Amino acid sequence: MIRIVSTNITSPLGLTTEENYSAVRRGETSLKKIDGYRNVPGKFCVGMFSDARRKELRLDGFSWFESLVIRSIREAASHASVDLSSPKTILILGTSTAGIEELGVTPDKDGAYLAPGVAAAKIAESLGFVTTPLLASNACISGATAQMLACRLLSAGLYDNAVVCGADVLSEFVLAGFSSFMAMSPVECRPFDIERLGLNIGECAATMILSKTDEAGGWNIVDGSLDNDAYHVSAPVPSGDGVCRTVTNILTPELKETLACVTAHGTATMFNDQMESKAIENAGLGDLPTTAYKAHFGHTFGASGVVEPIITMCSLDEGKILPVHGFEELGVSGKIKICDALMDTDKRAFVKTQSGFGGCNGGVIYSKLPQGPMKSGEGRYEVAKTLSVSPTSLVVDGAEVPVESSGAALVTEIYKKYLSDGSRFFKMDLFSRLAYAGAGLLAKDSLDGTEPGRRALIIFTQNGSVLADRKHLSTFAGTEGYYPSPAVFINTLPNVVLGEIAVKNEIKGETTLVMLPGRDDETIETIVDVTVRATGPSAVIYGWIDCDAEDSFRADLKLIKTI
Amino acid sequence: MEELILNLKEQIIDALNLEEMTPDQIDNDAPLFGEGLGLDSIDALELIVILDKFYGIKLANPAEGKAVFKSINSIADYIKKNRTK
Repeated sequence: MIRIVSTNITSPLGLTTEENYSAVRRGETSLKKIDGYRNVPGKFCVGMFSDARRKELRLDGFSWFESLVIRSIREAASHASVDLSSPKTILILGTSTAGIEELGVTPDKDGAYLAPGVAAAKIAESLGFVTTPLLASNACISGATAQMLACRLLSAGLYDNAVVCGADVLSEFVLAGFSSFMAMSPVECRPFDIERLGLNIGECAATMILSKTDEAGGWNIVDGSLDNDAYHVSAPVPSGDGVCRTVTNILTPELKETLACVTAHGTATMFNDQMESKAIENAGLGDLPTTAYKAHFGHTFGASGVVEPIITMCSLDEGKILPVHGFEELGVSGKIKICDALMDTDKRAFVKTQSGFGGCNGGVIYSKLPQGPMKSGEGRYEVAKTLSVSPTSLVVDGAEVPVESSGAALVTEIYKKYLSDGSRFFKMDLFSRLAYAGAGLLAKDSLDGTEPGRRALIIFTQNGSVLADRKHLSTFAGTEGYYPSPAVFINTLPNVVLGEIAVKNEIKGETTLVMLPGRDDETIETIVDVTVRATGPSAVIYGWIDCDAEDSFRADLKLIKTI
Repeated sequence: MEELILNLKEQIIDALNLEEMTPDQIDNDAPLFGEGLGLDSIDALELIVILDKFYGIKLANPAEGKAVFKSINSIADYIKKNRTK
């Protein structure tokens, strides 16, 4: 079983798990009202460190994001007997923006912005890791994605320990983007409440150190499931079917008997909480107390899937279920029981749900009861089709396909010739266009006969959405006024294109985006191998997609299917 | 009004990346969402940015946009009545 041997939470509420849990237990919140933030006008309520605190906690030679991650991991490692420098220990980060605040501000020593995977390598090196780190960038479910990657690598015996850190920091970049989405509440958020007005953004780094063990005692990750709504890139499917499936995929009747509560995503947006209430009801968990912590920390994106289960572990350790801060009157139609006052429980297991942009959802079960090994399939796969795109060529199944254009125009040519489906293609950045056209052509007529729920998509990249990042930055950092574009902002989340591909090709299984310090085909094959072993899909589209300028890109994709 | 409608169409084509579309191909009365141009919720947010950026109109509540964004004509009417620049 996969044991959580140590944890840390580094947030405005405290620098250790204990400090944070005590603050939450006392009903404290990190949320504060502010009037504008640097270039971003507006009234916000955010969970952020004060400038003085940031200065104090920032490490020399590291960005604010890197500093928080390093501090969180160091503290977690200080009370675990895990050797970070062992070749059997790996670092896996989960983040949606990975310190994007540095994009236009602080270049690294070579004068260039550090791509998230490269920043992960810098963090890993400073902490003494000798293995290549992974960075899961799956919007708000990045933390759960990082944990699933860790569980699979540990279960396969490839590593003994995995240090999972979910983190995101607050910046103009993120505030400007979410303000253009009109999804932020100007007051403290109220998850599941009838008067909820939207989310608050928070910043946090939270760490779980995971080890494979057979010994009883301590918290374990029982299992988890990730899937895609295949509905819309920013709006969740109203039925909540995607979140529901992530739970029903892993919940057995025996496990259900052991559960104390559901720890929901509960962002306090109209759409999320409504959808999530239906999902919890339809997963058969409406009779359990549901709790949520966004009114304590704000929405901490990549950190939320790590910090929130840690808080529930602490509360169940003392036999309590904590009430949803800010909740007064039920404002969702799903038949669920929101925990509105401190409750006692003798159970020591729970479900964590989450969902995010790109249509992705995650469900993870944690338990203090001894568990068997995670399930592992024996399916065999064969390569059904391959595709490569460079600025001058399109190659399908090893054969060059004649093309008329080059550079970014070639990607458009592929789209027009083979897909032309009235999608949002022309509204995407080049990375997304490349992924959409490449995966679309690969999937075309090739997924027939496979169930949507058993189709998966795993994309690896170094630079991800950097072109969209720069464009978004220019919409509010310049002198021509403050007009961040929601269409540009959404493409700054590199996993959003996975949602576009999922909608088009009805991929309702796992969709994951992993950022690496550089191209590494061996790592790609390893991750795909452990993922298919753990989840048993019928068809998987995967590969490397990278783009760092309008005329500099590469896509090498494969479609594998069960034999 | 005609000039306003033409400018508005050009701004929409540009902001929404309506590739290869010209202003005369957009019907002034046709629905912008669903059928017609087939815009979606992210495009609606982009239209809110257009109102702010070019006409100084702040639409704080996206729900208000539903009636305003029915067609090119309805947006132009709204701009005429509410513009501050």
